[in-house]
Amino acid sequence: MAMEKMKIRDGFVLRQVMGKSMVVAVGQRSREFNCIIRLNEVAADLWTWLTEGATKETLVARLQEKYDIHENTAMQDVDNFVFALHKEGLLEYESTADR
Amino acid sequence: MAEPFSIGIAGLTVRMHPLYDHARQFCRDYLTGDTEADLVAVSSTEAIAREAEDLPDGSPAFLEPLCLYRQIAEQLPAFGGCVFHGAAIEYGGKAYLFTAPSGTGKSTHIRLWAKHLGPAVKIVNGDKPILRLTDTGVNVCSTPWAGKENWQRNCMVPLGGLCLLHRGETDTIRRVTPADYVSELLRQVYLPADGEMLDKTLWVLDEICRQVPLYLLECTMNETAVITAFEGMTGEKYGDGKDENS
Repeated sequence: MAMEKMKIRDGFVLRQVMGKSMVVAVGQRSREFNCIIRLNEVAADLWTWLTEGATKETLVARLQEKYDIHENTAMQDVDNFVFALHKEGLLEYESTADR
Repeated sequence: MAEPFSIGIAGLTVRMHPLYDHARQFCRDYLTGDTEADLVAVSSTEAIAREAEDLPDGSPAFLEPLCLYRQIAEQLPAFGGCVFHGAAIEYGGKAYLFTAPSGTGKSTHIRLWAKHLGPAVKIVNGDKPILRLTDTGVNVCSTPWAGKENWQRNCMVPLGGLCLLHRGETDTIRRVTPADYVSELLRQVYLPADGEMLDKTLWVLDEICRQVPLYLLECTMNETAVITAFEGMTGEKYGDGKDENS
């Protein structure tokens, strides 16, 4: 699990609407998924990094670096966000070699 | 294949290519002789079948107008327009558009306007009007797609106010900051599947909220709801706007 690389599934885009970060579905996804997600600043960063694909460890490290926060805080933010995305079926996983 | 025909909506000419004759009948109040089309909507059994996924009880002829409207909605952002889910009325030369999830009471609310303010209030569209930006501002444009009551009148009216309708125990209205209600607004706008059109839609929505005041109305089903909404949005005194003969 620890080294598992996660990525946002295709068909979801992050856009700025009236200064707010919103996730909406495009293409075929827009027909099966009509939920709109609003992200705060940290979540929007995590989302952006996850569109490129990242492990939990990378996300925690990048959060710590950008916001100068304690590892435990960063880990909690990442866990909560990843869990929420997972629950909504927005993530896909790809195992790295040493798993 | 039924005969193609053209309709005029939102200041645009749409060439419709249906499979069934019902579509023309459905659009009867909007037919035009213009053959030079701004946009084209073509029906197909596949596209109708996709609409049936949401409404399995509908016959193909019944579902076809929805499938045609979806195609129009996908192209509208290129013309500074979007399909908006809401009920719009006209009063004093301006349109007021009430939006809320289905079943909240939009139809009931605009019915109250018509009941208490009489002929001074005219229906624009009861369900799915088009909002379109022009040089003169934001306009609410009626369409044949008007919900089960079919409340619509072929017209294009400047938008005077956009109103989020919530059910409440009492009646209150206040002006709100659009950015605080982005999610709520986005759920009521048709979001195209195409990424570029989606971006244009978001821009259109942003522009609408920049030009037109947004209100949050919490309301009952009583006349007091009309008084509150009317005075809050038109800035007029309720009794003055009331048609005494109605």
